Amino acid sequence: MKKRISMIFILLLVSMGGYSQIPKGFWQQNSSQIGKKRMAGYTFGDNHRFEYTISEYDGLNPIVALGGTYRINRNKIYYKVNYIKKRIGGKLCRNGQYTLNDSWAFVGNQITVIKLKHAINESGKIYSMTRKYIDLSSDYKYYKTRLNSSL
Amino acid sequence: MKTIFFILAILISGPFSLNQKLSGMWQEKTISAGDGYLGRYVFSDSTFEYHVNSYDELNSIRTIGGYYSIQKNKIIFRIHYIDKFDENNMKIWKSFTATLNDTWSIDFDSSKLIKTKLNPIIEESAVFLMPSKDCIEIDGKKYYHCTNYQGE
Repeated sequence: MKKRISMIFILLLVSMGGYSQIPKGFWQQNSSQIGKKRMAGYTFGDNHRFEYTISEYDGLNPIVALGGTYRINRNKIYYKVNYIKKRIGGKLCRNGQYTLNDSWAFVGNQITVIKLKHAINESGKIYSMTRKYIDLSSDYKYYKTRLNSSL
Repeated sequence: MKTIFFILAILISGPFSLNQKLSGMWQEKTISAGDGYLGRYVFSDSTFEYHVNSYDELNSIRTIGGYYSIQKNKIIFRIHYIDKFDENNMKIWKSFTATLNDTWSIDFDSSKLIKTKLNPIIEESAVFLMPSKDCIEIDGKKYYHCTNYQGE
């Protein structure tokens, strides 16, 4: 009950254009259902922390995530990216687990967090936001999943 | 006797003809292109390049390339190089045109594309089918021949 009230309060604040946070958890592109692997999405955590992760079906992109903090002002979200997570090493091969990029993937790599010397400041529009999804672009909605925030 | 020569001629010219038929660009999902191309293979008689989806500008790896050969229903890729943006000096931003990865992108204009030659080369293979002259299948994924491809 307490959680519901908090969420309604947060949504009210957002819709009124006040500063607020997005409910904690993993918000996935296109679907609230998690398959064998996660699709691209945003994890929102405490203290305005966020992390964007690429689809786990993409085994080729060396950049697997970027993250930092965010704030919301009216219908805009402002990101401050402090770090990037990268795949280091690994062997390029074909692997059917990674369906994007025609199964080309680096396997056996390590994920390293690279802190940025200069934070990247970017912004985006919030087209709409409900308890179930956030619409951050004209192409994709991000749906709240059952996965908790790791941030 | 004539029949034997004819069969021999077909056997000898067979793989060569298929490679010739492959020349050009083959795009996943569709033959049409918008502002950019989806994931695609560009083949010549002996070389190939795989280009990542143009709408994904967060991927620093843009191209995998080298030589290929076809043996029965198998395509063998020999990767000699990777084209990749210099990760030490690349700038990340939201581009508003690259629709994948929520427009998070590498700023291509301020980043340097580097060709990395592989030593040793990497050899990989995939199941190859050509169900029609306009369509190929690589490990079950369909690619369509884009005849109006002008290069990039």
